[in-house]
This record gives sequence, structure tokens and C-alpha cells, in this order.
Amino acid sequence: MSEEEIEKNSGVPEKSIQSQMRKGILELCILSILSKADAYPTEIIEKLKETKLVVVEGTLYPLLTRLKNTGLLAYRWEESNSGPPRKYYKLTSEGQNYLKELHESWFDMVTAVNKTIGPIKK
Amino acid sequence: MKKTVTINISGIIFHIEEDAYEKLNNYLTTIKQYFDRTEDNGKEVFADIEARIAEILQEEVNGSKQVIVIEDIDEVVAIMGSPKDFEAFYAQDEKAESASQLGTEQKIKRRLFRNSDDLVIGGVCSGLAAYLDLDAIWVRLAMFLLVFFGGLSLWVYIILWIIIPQAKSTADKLAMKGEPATIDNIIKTVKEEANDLNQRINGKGILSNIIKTCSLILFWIFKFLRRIVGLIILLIGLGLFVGYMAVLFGVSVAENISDLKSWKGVIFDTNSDYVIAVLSFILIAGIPIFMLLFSGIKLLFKINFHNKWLNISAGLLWLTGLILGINLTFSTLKQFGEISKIKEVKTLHAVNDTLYVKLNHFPDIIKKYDFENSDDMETSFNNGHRKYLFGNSENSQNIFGFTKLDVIESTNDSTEIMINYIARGKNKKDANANAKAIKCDVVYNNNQLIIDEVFKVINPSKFRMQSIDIKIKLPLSKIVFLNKDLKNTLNDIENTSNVWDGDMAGHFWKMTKQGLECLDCDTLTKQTK
Repeated sequence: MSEEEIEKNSGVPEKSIQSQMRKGILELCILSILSKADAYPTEIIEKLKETKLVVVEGTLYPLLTRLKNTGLLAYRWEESNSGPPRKYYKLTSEGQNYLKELHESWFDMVTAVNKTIGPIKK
Repeated sequence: MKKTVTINISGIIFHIEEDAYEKLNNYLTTIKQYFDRTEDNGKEVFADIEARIAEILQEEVNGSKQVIVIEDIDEVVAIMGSPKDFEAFYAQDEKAESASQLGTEQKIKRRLFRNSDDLVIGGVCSGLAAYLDLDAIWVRLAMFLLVFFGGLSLWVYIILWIIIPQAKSTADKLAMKGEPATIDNIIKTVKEEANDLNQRINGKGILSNIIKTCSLILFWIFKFLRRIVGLIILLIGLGLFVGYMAVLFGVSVAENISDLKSWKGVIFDTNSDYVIAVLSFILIAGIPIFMLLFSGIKLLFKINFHNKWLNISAGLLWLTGLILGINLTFSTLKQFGEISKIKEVKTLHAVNDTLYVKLNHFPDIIKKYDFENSDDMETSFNNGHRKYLFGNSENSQNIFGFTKLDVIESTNDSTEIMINYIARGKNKKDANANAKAIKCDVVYNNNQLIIDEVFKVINPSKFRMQSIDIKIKLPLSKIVFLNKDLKNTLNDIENTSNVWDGDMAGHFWKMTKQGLECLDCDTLTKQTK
């Protein structure tokens, strides 16, 4: 194996944990945002950007489509004053239940994780 | 100043500068390929993204700024992110997982493009080489060798050149090599291209430049040639048109004044046949000339007009003309179907041994008639016209044909003259009637025979190739003097010294067992020997 390949292979697990986490967290955030009010992708992104969870918008669209296809989200078209019609997403009842579960396990996990790793050393 | 392009994203129209367009197009292609590969609903995702891009761009334009510039696209890319960003984010997605495990070895379907970055002529060979994963030189070598198989590869090359698209965007170029359009690959390719460009500027690929220039010149020549050809066709068409009009106009004018009226009267059985003849001429000659003019104008002025019905109806009209013409030709030829020969024999009572033969001249004969075109006839005659002449008088046409004279040995002791009247007709009876219509005076008086130079066909007989054949039957040892004016009337007379018919005139001839023998032409025989 060349050096380059070793580097690449060793890099995979680290990357996957981060992205897995990010993906799960992002799903939670999207569902939470939508639980407060229906929104179209740009609005969702604006809120996510405040928390620096999403850097580029392109990543959001596949996620929304997938959530919609699994039945957690539904959407309707709405005319826009500036630009093409917008897809307004809303939580389905299924989505609401899922969010509830996610909510609980999130807080359980955060508590557990914080206990385990302790405060960040400087 | 920059050129702008109009594009439609998600139903919204934008004016975008060309370089910005290139960039946006490349970006969208890359993203589309990425989502097609990684998502089950790639199309839907891509449509959402396009809608968002349209929204972002819509915010960029306002009253004072109406055109999308490259900076706007940079902003779009920054907001939306590149496939590399997505990959980093979704490294563990189910589909993306397999993609990332395969890593750079991951195969996407190769596509066949012409490689404009590595070309000798059109980049066909290097494109094929990329598709087949071969070195371009082998494909080129194969192409070159196949030229010797009846130029096979020349045609193949031209066809491939036409049908294979050129790899234009970076994404195309990557697809050509079967590499996924990741941002890394795009950067790599762009760098390679930049290197390549440097090389080219430094003088490589001169051959391709020369060929490019040549093909450009050929293209212009061809374009220009089209017009030249158009002009030539138009000029030919105009020339023919003038001739065509002259014939038609000439026909209508000539009908009143000259020979034509007589031709029409003497050849065609009825007047309607003549009308059909003119009509079929108008169609057969006129339609091709019209089409010639038409296509010449089309080529010259680059008019793209193609009407199926025009062509079909022109073709049908032409065919109608042809059928009319053929039909008329056949029906007219039928009028010449049968031949008839009427023989008349007279005995010439001899006063002494020598028969003098002379001609009643054509100008003297026509003096008897009051022809409108007698001057024309005389001119034709003086010009050596010895076939048929047509005379017009008030209500009739008269056909004149030239008499032929032969001298042969008589089967008995008396001098005889045999006249054969020959004519054609649609049947035997008609042919007989036409032969009987031939009138030719042969006057005999005191050993002197005067023959009309021309015969006349009496009305209403038409021209049916009438002819007259006069034979003088001369007994052995009798003498004939052929007057000088018979020069053109004598026809194929056998003589012992093989003298030309024309040269026999003006001499005394004696009938012997071997044929006519000249009595006073020592000089002549010497000459012919």
C-alpha cells in the first residue's frame, strides 16, 4: 500500500463518525424547526446557518427529499414574489412522533456523553 | 462589453454573461451528475436546487443591474456548495458509502466524445482512444492503415466526426475518460488544460491548426461556391429562357410571315395537332427552364424554400407535356407508315441517235405561282438547298421537291422514260393518293427532253416524303447529251469511267454493254486517273 492509500483508509472512520453525527443532528434540527412552523428550504437554512450546522445549502436538499420520502415530512407549493414557487415543508403526524423519540434520546445521549467525556481540557 | 446569454432556470429568465454562463453550466452539470449517482431521487433534488439558484440569482438582479455576472455565480457556488462539500457531509450515506469506498477507482460510464484538447483533425481518434482506454496513437495508426482498404476509414472518420459530440464542458471531458466529475477531478482537468494551452501556444499542434485553417477556408469556399453555382445555373437558365421565348415568339410571329406556317400546314394532319405540338413544347422545354431559374435563385440568394407540391405539380406537368409530345410524334409518324410507288413509262420517239436532256429551272417554275415567300425560296435555292422548299400562297401551302435523274440501259430498242412517283401515307390508299399528288412536267420534243428541276405536291396532300425518280432507258449504242444544268439532278448514274454524277453533266455519253461511255471527256478521264 502506498502512503497515500494508508492515509486515505485511516481517514475514513473518523470522517464517518462526524458525518453520521452531523446527519443525525441535522435531521433533529430540521424536524424541530418545522415543528414550530412550516417553512421552505431557505428559511430552514437561515436558521441552521445561525447555528453553523450547515455551511452549504446543497447538502440540505437531499436530506429534505429523503425525509419527505420516508413520510416524516410533507410539502405544498406556494407562490413567491421573487422567483419560482416555493416548496413549504411541514411535519406529518409520523414526523411529530419521530421527533418526540429523537428529542428524548438526544437529551439522554447528551447527558450520558457529557458525563463520559467530562469538561474539555484546555 | 461582454456577450450575454439568455437562460431559463426553473421557469425564470435570466440574462447572463457568457463566462458566467459557462461556469454555471459546468457547475450544474457536475451537481446533476453527483446527485444522479448518489440519490434515489436525484432529479427531484436537482430541481429543488435549481429553484433555489433561481431564487438567489433573482435577488442579484434589480433595476440597475440586469445581467448575471461571474461573481454572482461564484456566490451561488459558495452558498450551494460543491460536490466535494456534499461528499464530506454525506460520507456515510448508504449510496455515497459505496461510492466513497470505491474511491477514485469508482467507474462511471464512459461516454464517447471528440477530444478537442488532443486532436490532429477532429479529435475523433483521441476521443475513441479515451473511450476504449487505449493510447491515441494506436487508434490513429489503425485509422491510417484502414485508409488503404478502399478509403474505408475516411468515410468512417467523417461520419464519426459528424455524429460524435465534442467534449465541451469539463464534466464532458471527465465523462469521456470515465472519471467521476468530482471537484478534485475538475480542478485536475482544468490544470491539465492550462498546461496543454501553454504547450499549444509554444507551437505544438501546428498540424491541427493548419488543418483547422484549411477546413475553415474550404468551408468559406464551399459557401461561396454555392452562390457561384447558383449564379451559373441562373445564367444558364436565363439564356435558355431567352431562347425559349424567342422560339415561342418566333413561332407566333413566323406564322404570319414565313416558312413556319407552311411547315405546320404540310406536316400536321389537323390544326389541333399543331396546337398540341406547341403546348408540349411549352411544357417539355419550359418547366425545366423554370425549375433551373428557380433553383439558381434559391442557391444565389440562399432562400430556403422547399415546396413538395410545387415540385410534384411541375413534374406532373412536364410528364403531361412529354406524353402529349410522344403521342403526337407517334400519331404523326403513323402518317408516314406506308410507302407507295407509282410507275409511269413513256416512249420517246427518236428523230436521230442523240437525245438532248436539259432542265426547266426552279426559278422559272415558281414564277408561275404567286408565292408570298418566293424570295425566301430563291435564297434557299441559291444557297444550295436541295431537299424540299415550301411556298405560301393566299390559302395554301405548296411543297416542292427536287427531281432525280438516272440513265439506264433499255431492255428493248426504243428510248423510254420511266417516272417513279414515291410517297408515304398512313395506309396504302393514302400513300397512293399522296404519290398521285406529285406533279412534274417532262416535255419531249424533237430529240430534246426538258425535265422540271422540281416537282410540286398538289393540295391538299401533306408533306409525306414525296420524291420523284426519273429514269431514261437508253438502248445500246444510242447517245445522250446531259446538259450542264443537270449537275445537281443527276443521281447515281453508272458509267465506264466512274465519273462523279455532277461531272457527267455537259458531256456526250454513249450506251455500251458496260454502261455509259463518255465520248468527249478525254481530259476528264485523265483527271480522275
